[in-house]
Amino acid sequence: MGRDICSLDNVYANNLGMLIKLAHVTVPHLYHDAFFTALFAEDTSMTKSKNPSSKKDVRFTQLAYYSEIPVGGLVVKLVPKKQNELSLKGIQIEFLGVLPSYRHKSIGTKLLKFAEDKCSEAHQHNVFVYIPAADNSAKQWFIAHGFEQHGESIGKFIKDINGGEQDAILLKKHIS
Amino acid sequence: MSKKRGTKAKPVAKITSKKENEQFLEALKLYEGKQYKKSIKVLDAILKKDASHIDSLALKGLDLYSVGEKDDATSFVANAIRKIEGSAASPICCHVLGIYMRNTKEYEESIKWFTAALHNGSTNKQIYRDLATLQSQIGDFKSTLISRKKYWESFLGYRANWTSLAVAQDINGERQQAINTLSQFEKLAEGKISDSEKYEHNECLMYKNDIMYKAAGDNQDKLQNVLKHLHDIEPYVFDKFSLLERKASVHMKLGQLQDASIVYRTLIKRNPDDFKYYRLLEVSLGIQNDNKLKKALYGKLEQFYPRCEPPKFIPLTFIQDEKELSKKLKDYVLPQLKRGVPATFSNVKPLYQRRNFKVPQLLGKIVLEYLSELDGTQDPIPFIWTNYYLSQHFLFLNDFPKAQEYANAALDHTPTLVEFYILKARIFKHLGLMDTAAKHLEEGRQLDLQDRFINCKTVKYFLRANNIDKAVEIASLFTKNDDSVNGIKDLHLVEASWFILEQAEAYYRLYLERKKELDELTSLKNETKGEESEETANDIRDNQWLVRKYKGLALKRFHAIPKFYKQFEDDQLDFHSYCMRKGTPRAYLEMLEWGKTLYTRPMYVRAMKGASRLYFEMHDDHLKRKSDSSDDNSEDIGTNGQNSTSSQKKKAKKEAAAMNKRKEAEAKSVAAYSADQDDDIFGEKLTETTTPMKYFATEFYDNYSKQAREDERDYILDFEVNYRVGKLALCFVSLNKIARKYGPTSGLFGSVAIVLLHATRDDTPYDPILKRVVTKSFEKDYSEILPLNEISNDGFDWLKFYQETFSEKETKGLLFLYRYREDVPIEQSALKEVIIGGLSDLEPRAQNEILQYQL
Repeated sequence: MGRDICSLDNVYANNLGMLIKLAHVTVPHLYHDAFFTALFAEDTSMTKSKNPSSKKDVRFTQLAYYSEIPVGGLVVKLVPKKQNELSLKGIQIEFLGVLPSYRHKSIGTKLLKFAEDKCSEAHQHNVFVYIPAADNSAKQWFIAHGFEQHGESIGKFIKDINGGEQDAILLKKHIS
Repeated sequence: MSKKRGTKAKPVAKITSKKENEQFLEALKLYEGKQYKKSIKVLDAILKKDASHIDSLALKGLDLYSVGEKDDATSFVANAIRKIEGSAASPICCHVLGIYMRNTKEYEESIKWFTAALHNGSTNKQIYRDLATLQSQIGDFKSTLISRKKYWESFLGYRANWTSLAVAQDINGERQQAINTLSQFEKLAEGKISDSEKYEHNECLMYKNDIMYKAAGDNQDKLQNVLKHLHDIEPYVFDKFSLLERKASVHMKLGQLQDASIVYRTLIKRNPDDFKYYRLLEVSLGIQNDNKLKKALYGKLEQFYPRCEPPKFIPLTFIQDEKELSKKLKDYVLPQLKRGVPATFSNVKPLYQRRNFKVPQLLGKIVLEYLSELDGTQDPIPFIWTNYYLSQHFLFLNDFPKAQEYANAALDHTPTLVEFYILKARIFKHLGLMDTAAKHLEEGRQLDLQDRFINCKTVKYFLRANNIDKAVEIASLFTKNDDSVNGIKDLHLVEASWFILEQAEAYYRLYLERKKELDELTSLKNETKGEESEETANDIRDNQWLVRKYKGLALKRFHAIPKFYKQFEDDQLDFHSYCMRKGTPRAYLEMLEWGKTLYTRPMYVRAMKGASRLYFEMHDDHLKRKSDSSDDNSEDIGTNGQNSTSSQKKKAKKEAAAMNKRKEAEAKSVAAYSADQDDDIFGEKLTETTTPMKYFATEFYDNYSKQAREDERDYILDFEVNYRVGKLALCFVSLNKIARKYGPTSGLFGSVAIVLLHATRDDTPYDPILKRVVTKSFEKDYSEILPLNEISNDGFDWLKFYQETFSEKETKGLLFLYRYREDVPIEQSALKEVIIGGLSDLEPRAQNEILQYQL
């Protein structure tokens, strides 16, 4: 046996629903379904898409399985160029979540490892993430995993689906 | 064409020239080479000279059939047959006609022509083989035997012919001859069996043993013989299971129980997961009724086969002592929950059903206790599956809130498991909330689009919720849609009867709903006569179309099911020769048995019952319209004719055109077959039949009635059919059977009896002799239970009598009475009240169903 009870696998068009569900459950009210469905938008709609940036964006996605049950998900974006003074280039974590009942089993660590590997593969040196300034547990988790705060908190950076706004902080980890 | 009859009498045409004959043979050769078009050309040349050359007419028919011009083929063949009448046809012509009839599936006709070919001097022995195949297909095994023998005599060199002869003899009860036939061949083939023939040989050897075993009965000597034969053939037989099973049953019959038990132990060793062998081992050891010994036995077996189910499970079915049972149940269930086995509940469900008084409460306690020890984050896997189990547990006990509670707990914990959505939907289904149920399943389906199981489940639930469009849309994700807008055609092609039947039932429910609405609208219109608004008129027209559409489509789908079953029956045709050639007589006989019960399979019966509702209604409406006298109708037409000014005519025309357009657009999404095979997409022609009962009989009921076993027959259905065709004596037979099956105080018996009793009144349209027969039978059998004298008393309260005499809580009986409310002097509203009063015992889903669709 000796098989790891936790494993990672790609997201496919057919089980995208799992990722959406996980995002809604772990981080409620933040993501629009369109954000996820765009991941698998067909080529035709890509070219016709009103948002030209989506064509250029390169994203990586993963699902984490615990005993064959999908319990965690990850979406990261490759940011090859700095977009403004405050931002960074590298791999941006857009979504990283594990179901509450399956935490403390190193599932998140595994997903993070995947992001870091992608970072190296893409010859980048930063993994970074914006999190709500008020979210202490998230901050602690990232800091425990080698992240450090980058710059001051950014006002009203995060907008949720109900139109609410939150301050955010930028955390980053250097990958050599 | 029938005007040409004159030619028939002239035998002059029979003298065919040599040249014609040669030409005809050429055409025949072309047919055999599958060059049908060329063959037709040659035949046309003959027919040009002699338009009544029968052989050519027949062959041209066959050629035309082969190139797909079936209508032309029919007329040519009919022409040929008409000319044959009274005169002797050539054997070739008869043979050609036989082949044609076989192609068109008129097997009895085909047999007739093949036989005629032989009578008229055909020397073609192959005909016997074809004949035997056809005779087997229609179940005429006596004739099969004759044909098989003839063919066998002509071609002794093939094993298939010996095997088929033996099978025919066996079926006709000539067992000894069958054994001899097989033995003879064995002797002939001895030492000449090549490797590739060994399997066939092994099958035939076992088959011979089968016959010997059947022939032996309880005769000790013969059974010894069977045993000896088994021993002899053992090295050549590959099917060791059959061999051992046979061995054991012979030992049992001979009373050699110990030998039998040894064989059963060998079988268990070969396959320790087959429950059957364990049961038989109990029997051979003579301990079925000794729990103590059984416990010891299974304890030992469990040690031998620690990874196998039966030794663990079987003790749970008989242990009586509560403490011990509780411990055993714990040992069985908890490890599974710990491992996270989703099917844990399904594994013990048979115990829930069979030991309803003991097991559910014990297991409920055990599992609840186990859950209280679990922590959602520490052991997530056991936690969710234990909740899943408990939800099913409470669902089984009809405790819906509790079931919901545990399903939610599982779902909150792990919202990414599809199973939990299915379970949740199931609970809503039982609560009668079909829309909510379907919604939950849809949510689960979105998680995993490639999961066929949940796809099908969701489709089914949407159909149950009468949301046909959505169901079809989802089902079409997995079908081959080529050039059609959805998967309906493909689902028919792959014979997905579950879908078609569910859809039929959904259409039927929609039909009922629409009809109710239409009735309300028309009564509304009649109330406000004169000032009918445009809107209501439109509404009515809309509903009229919907009623017609749903009724037609429901019938259409119901009819699709017997089509499949006829196809199944027909599919047997090839195997009458194929099985012999492949040397699988045992499988062949099994197939014949299967064919005999084909039309009693659950899906067929369900479709038949569904269709019966519509056909019964059509029949009853038909009668009503007749008895309502025709002036009602003529008045309707009259007013229409008078009022229609030219502008109204124009409007009507426009509306009709719009309707046609709408129909055309819709036809694409409901078509079940490709356009060239179906000219009645909406099933409207089905609804317009003037002989609904006859049609129902030929399409559904007759096949069922022929095959259904006495103990599985639906007597209510029998009654309802015979009641409508006026066979009151048969109705009484059904009544007797209902009395025997459900008891003479059951509500079902009561209502059927009351309905039949009223059929004997003077003012009913049934045959007076039959009425008297039934009355006499009532007097003889049921004068004590039923108030036979009150039948002509209009003041008698039958409902009160029913309530006092029969188990009135039984909704089934009351609903039957309600269906025949117009034939019985019972106040409809009072009856309805009684039914509604009795509904509270049923689960919500059943209540809804009755309220919505039966009252």
